[in-house]
Amino acid sequence: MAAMLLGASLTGCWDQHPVEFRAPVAGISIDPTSRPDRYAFTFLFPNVTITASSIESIPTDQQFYSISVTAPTLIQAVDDVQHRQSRALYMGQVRILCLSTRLPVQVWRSVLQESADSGRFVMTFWVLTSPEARKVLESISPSEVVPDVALYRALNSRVQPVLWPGRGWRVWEDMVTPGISPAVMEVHPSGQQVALHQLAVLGPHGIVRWDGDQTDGWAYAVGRVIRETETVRVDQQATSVGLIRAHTRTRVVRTPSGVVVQLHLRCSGEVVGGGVGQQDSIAMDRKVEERVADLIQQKVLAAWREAVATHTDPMGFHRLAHWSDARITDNAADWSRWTLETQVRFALRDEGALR
Amino acid sequence: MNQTPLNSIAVIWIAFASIVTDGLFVWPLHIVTAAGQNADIALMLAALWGMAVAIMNPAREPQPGIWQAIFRGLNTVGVVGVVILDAVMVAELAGMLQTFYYLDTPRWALSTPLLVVAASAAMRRGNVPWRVVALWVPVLAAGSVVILGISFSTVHHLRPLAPNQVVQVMPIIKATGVIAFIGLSVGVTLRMGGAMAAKAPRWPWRLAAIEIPILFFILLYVVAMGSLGPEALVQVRWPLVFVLDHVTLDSTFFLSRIGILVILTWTVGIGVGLIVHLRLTQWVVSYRWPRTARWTPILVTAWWWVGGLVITSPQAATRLVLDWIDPAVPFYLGTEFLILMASWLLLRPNAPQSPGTSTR
Repeated sequence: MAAMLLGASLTGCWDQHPVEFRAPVAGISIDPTSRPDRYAFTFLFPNVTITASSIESIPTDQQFYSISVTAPTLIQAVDDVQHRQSRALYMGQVRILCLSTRLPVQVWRSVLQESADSGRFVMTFWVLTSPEARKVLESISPSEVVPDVALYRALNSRVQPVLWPGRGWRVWEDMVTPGISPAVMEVHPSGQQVALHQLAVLGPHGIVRWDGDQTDGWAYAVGRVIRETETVRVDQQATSVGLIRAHTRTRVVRTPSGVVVQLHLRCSGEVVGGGVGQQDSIAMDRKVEERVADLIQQKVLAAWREAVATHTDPMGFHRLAHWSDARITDNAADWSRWTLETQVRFALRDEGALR
Repeated sequence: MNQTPLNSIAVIWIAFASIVTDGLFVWPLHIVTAAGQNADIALMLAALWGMAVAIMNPAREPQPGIWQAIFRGLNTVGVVGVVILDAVMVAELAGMLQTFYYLDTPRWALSTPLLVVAASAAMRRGNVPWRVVALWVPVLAAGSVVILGISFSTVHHLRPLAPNQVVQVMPIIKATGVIAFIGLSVGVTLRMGGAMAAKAPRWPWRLAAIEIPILFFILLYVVAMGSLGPEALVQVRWPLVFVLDHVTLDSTFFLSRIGILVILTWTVGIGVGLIVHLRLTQWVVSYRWPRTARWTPILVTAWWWVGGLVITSPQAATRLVLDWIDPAVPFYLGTEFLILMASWLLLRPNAPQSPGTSTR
C-alpha cells in the first residue's frame, strides 16, 4: 500500500511537466530602451522541432529562435514571453544572461536578485555584458549545435587562459556581499563569433571597463590564471612564455598607518617561443624569469591603480579584510589608507616545446 | 515486544539517523544570522556539549529505584520534545520538496506516503526496523558525503570558516541557542541505544555515535559557509539547497545537476530518522503500558500528519523552532546535563550492571 501511495504521489502523475510541453530558455539579453523604466528583453530558445537526424542539414540560424518583449522587470518579461509561447517556459537551462553595459547598475542588481528570489531559475548560467546585448545572444556560433551555446561552453570548460568570473549565483553572491565589486566579462560579437574581451566591473555609479592589462592583473591578483601567455623582450628578442599558472596567497593586515594587502604570487610557465632556445644558458633563463615576473607585477599594479581610481574592488580585498578583522571597512569604494605589497616569483617549469 | 539485542555499530547508525533528522533544517541559516562568521564557535560549543552528554550518559538503564525513575522521567520529557519537533521537521521537508521539486503537489500528499512508510516500518516486530536503519543509514550517509564532497568544488571562501579577529560573546550564545533543538534527541537516543544493545556500549562507542553526526553537521556548515560567505548565506531561505543546486558537472556526459540527488537522500534519511523516533516513543510508552506500546506509532504519525496540515508554510515551521522550541529546550538540556553529571559522579564507581537488567 505504501509503495502504491509513493508511486501515485511522488512519481509526478499529477504534477507532470513533459519535455515536449516545455520551452527551455537558452539565453536572455537585456538592453535599454528609449524609456528609462522599461527594458528590451530577448529570450533565446533552442528550436525543438529539430530532430537528431535533421541537425546536420539545418542552417545555424534556424537552430535557435528568439522572442523579444519590452518590460520593466525580468519576471514581468518572463510572463510577457509566456503569453507569446505555446509551451511552458523553463528556466532551469538558461546558459547565458547578457546585460548591456549601458544599463544602470540598479537594473543589474534587480535582475540578479529577481532570478535568485524567483526560484524558477537555476543560477548556473553565465552573466556577460556587451554594449549590444541582443547581438551577442543572436550571434550563434557555427561550431556548436542546438542546444549548446558556444559562450557557455567557452566559459565552462576551462579552455580559456583565465578562469573568468560571471557564474550567475556567484555574481549574485558578490552583489549581496559588501567589500567586493561584482565583475563579469565583456564580449564583442563580430559576425558569427563572439570574443571574450575584458573585465566589466559593477562600480557604485555604473559599469567600469578594465583594459586588457588591468584584466590580466586582476586574474593574477585573484589567482585565476591557468594557462596564460606572456611575451617579454630579452636581449632584443621577443620570447613567449606560455602555460603560465599562478598561485596567489593574499593576506590583509591592519597596521597603525592603514591597511596593507600582501600579495604573494608564485607563477610558473614554459618557454613556448622566441630566441632563447638558440642560446641554451641558465643565465638566459633567469633573465626571462625576471622579465616575466616584472611584467606580471606591472599588470597587478595596473589593476590595483584602476581599482583605486574607479573606487571598485573586483579582487574582493575589502571583503577578505572584513572577514579577517571586522574593524576594517567593507566599503569597496574606500581605498584611503590602503597600500599594496606584492611579491611575484616566476619560475620556468621545465624545458619548453622548442628545446 | 520481541527484542534481539543490537551491537554497538547499529547503535551508532541509530544515533546518526535520529540526530541528523532533526538537524537538516533551520540552523545553517539562523546560526549565521545570529553570529555571522563566528557561528563556527557556536557549532564547536554545541559539539563539546554533545560529546560531554555522550560520555556521561549511563551505558545501561539504571537498576530499578530512584535513578531509574529519574531517567525514565527525563526520557519521557525528551521524547515528547522530539515528537513535537518532528512535526515541524516533516512540515519543513514537505515545504522543501514542494518549493523545489513538486510545485503543484499539495504538501500533505508529499508527507503522507513518507509517514505511512515510517509508521508501518516502526510497527514491525523485533529487530526489523533496526535492520532497515542499519542498512540504509550507512548507504545514505556515504551518499551524502559523496554529494558534499563533489560540492566542495563550490567552496571558494576559506577565510569565513575561521572566526573573525573580533569575537563578541552574546551573538555566539544566541547562535548556540539556535541549535539547541538538535540536542533534544541526543541523550535520549543514546540511552535507548544503551538499553537495546547486547553489550552496554562503552564510552568510546557513545562518543563515536555523537561524533559522526557532528562531523556531518560540520561538513554541511563548511559547504554552505565556504560557498556563500556569511553575508550571502543569510539572504537565501534554503542555503544548503541553494548551494547543492548549483553544483554542476558540466563536463560529464549526462549528469549535469547533482543537486537532484539530494531529494532522495534527504527524504529517505528523514524517513529512517522518523522510524527511530517512533521506536523511541514505543520504548518510553512501554515503561508503563508495554502492551499498547506497539500501537503508539499510529498515534504519533497521526500527530505529525496533523502538524503538517496545521503548519502552513516552512517559514511558520522555522518560526516555531526559533520562537517556541529553542527557548524551551535549554531547560530540558540543562536538567539533563545536571542529572547526567550527578549520575556519572554517583553511579560510576558501582559494579557494571549485567545486560539482563534492561527492562526490555
